[in-house]
Amino acid sequence: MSFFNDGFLPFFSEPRFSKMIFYSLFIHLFLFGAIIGIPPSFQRNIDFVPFYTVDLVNLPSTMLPQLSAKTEGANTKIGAEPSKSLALPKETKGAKKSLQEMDYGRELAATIAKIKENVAKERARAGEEEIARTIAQIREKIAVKGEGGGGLTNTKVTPSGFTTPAPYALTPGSYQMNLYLTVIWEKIRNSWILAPNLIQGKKDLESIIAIKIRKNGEIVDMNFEKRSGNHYLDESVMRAIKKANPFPPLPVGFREEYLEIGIRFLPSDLG
Amino acid sequence: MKRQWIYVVVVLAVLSLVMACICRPKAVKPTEEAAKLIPPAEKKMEEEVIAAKEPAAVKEAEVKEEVSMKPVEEVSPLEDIHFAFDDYSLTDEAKAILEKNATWMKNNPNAKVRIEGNCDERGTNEYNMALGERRANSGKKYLIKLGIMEPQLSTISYGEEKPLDPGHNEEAWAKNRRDHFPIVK
Amino acid sequence: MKPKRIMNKRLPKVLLLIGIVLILFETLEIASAKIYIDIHTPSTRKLPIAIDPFKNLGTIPDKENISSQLIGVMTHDLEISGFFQIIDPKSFIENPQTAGITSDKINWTDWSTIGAEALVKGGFSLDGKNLMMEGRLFDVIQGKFLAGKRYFGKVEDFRLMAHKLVNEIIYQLTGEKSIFETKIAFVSTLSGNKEIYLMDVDGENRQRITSHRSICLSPVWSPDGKRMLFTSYKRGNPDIYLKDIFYGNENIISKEKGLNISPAFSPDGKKIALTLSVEDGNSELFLINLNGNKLDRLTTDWGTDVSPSFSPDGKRIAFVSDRSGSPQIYSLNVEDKSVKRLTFEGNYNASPEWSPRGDKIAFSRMMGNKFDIYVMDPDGSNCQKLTSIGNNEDPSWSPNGRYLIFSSDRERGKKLYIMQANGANQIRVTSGKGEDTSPAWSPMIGER
Repeated sequence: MSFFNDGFLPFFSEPRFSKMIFYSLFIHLFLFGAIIGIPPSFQRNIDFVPFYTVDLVNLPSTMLPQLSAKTEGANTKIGAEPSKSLALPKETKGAKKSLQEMDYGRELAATIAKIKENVAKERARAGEEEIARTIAQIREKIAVKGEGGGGLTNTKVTPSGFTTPAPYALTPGSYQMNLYLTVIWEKIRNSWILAPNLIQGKKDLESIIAIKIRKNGEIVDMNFEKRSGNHYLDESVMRAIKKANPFPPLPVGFREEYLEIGIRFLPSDLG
Repeated sequence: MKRQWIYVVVVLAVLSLVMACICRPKAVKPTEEAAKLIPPAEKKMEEEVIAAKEPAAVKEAEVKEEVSMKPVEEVSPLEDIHFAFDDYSLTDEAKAILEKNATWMKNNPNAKVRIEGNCDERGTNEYNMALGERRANSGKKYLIKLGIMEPQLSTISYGEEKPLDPGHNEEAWAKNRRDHFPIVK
Repeated sequence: MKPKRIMNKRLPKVLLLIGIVLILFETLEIASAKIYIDIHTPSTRKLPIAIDPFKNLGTIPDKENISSQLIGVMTHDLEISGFFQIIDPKSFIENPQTAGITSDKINWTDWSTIGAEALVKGGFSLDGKNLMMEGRLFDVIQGKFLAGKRYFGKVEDFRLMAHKLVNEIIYQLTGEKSIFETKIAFVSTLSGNKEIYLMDVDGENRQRITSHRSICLSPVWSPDGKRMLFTSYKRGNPDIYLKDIFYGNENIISKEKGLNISPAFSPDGKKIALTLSVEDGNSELFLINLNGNKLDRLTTDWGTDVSPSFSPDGKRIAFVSDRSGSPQIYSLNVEDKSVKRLTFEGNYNASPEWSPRGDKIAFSRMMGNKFDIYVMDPDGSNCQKLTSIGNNEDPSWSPNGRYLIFSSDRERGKKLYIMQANGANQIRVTSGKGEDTSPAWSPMIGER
């Protein structure tokens, strides 16, 4: 403690100057802390759905290296509109228009063409009646729930659908991370099979699996972080993760040994 | 003075390093793997003796395969009367026919007549049986009003079970919505 | 001077501490941030399942091709259940020489690559007139054995063994006791007259159980599944018969003058509701006991009252009445006889059937000159249309309330179809000649 007294005193012997310094320091530190935020939870949730939203297509892994080269100074207009999270063919048209505005719009447009093709196939396969019924149910639920499909909670949503991510997400390569998360979201979802009657109409079930993804995309650890209590739901989500293994390699800029994420399965939308 | 500032910076740096180490993202303690389904062991197999099959229901050795039900139509000197859909009231035409029928019956007092109420195939069998009965009763009441004695009459409903015309169109249905008056012994 | 001094000494310390704390908060937060991804809807609802041809584990050759018959029955059942997507056997890549039926001899990737998540393997052996069949269920993705059963019986019982195995598979994968050992009673004109038949849920094993050579209608199961009520014109008048299904004997329990029609068993099996017209020439609902003695008269209005169906708790009866001018569905309180109208749309609502779960009433409604099957809540709200093609009538619930069987003329002639309680997965189960109507699903049979 002595150095405080010895070291500082001569420096701050002039009252006005020292006051100024102190208040300035205090305000700076306070603002700094406030900007970082002292959130009640220590988790950064990305509840989202990919910005182009159809169930069936995996973004080709060859796209990732290309994109990472272009993201130095890429514009930050990436976000997601929650209501687009549900795979209504109508909505992808809107996504297509705005995406074409970007430099790599062409590649994405090609993907979207593929997506539309797959949607058409899926329609034929599933039958019109089923889809009409599902769409009607989904529409009801959109009307009721609004943002029920989840969205990027760290972004603000404007009518145009794309916004800047919150400042604390702006680490180098964060755009690639979002893209990567979209890809694995898609893959897990495509692997998840669950008959609606198995959860007996309960709407608030939640099952969370924590996984560690190595740089090469391999999942090395998968464990239940939370069980829903419904045995069939829990089995189905574990199978989904196992089927989705391995993922594409992690984005190039990722420095740590593993990417640790939690997958939350919330089957609230089953008809 | 510089020394003190360096001190401060070093302390801060050390402290933040320490905090970072302590607060390394902990994997939440993993719970055990997916629950075991019943039964657990591979080798166990349930031996089950299938209960003796239930005593056979009455089995007919031969089953004739005739598709259509041929309605056995009894020829009668009395004419049918017809009804509107889901209706059992008598039209003027029906009343005229009943008057003719009544005349014949008065001339043949020993002939017993059965009034059979029928419906078209639409609707449930059960409701149509009740409707057929109402149609038969309609006819019977009017004949009694015309002076026929009750013992000469009997009623039965066949609902949609004995259509005159097996077709599935309005023409066939109109023919089937009727009272029929066979002579019975 | 003193206050300033204190300020000079303490304030910097305090501020520095606050600064450190804030910085630490920040590192704390960054260091422990974990990303979560939310998924709300699965991509598929039907579980892909593969059924491998059963191995002949015995020495007697399989001349009657029991293996493919067993697979055929199981595949059909699993399709009817609506839970599964059956993987085409043509896509199987496993080498039958090297693979076995126990999990140590199964290469899981052989099955996961073709998309299977569940796998059924089994074997059988013949011994004269006897058959042993065993089946094993595996989780392909997690590579583990789930359950197995072995059955012994006569060769001609192979269907029953297959149905039992299917019930076991469904129980293991969904926790639900399924209906593949139950029976369906129905009316068919196959023999030239309307007679009562029994069949398995998949439409096989058809047996005629009446030979009245007249007109038989409206079969109804007793709650213990051993007896059946039905209407017959055998004596020249519509009378109600009570038949012991397995021993064959029949008694007439109601032979009043006029109509004796549309019987229904109470859930406790002790009373029968039915329609009689004897008392005032008008069709009314009555309650009788199994000896045919009248216990109570339930309706007294001038309209036609038919087609009673008890609620599972036995306290209410849904029925059809045209007291309002057209056939509509009403709900009657058995004790105080109070009546509430349930249907207000359409001019013809009939055939009410109360679900064994008590939460729905299925019925048929005529709209635009054709009939379709609907369900509604017991108070008449939440009407939902389940069918759309052809004329669809006579709904009957499965004992677990999950399925409905009904008669439809959407293809040539009237045949029986099964669908899920929400209208999905409509599958035809009868074929051939004859018009099939008036299906009645038996109570639950089988432990699983």
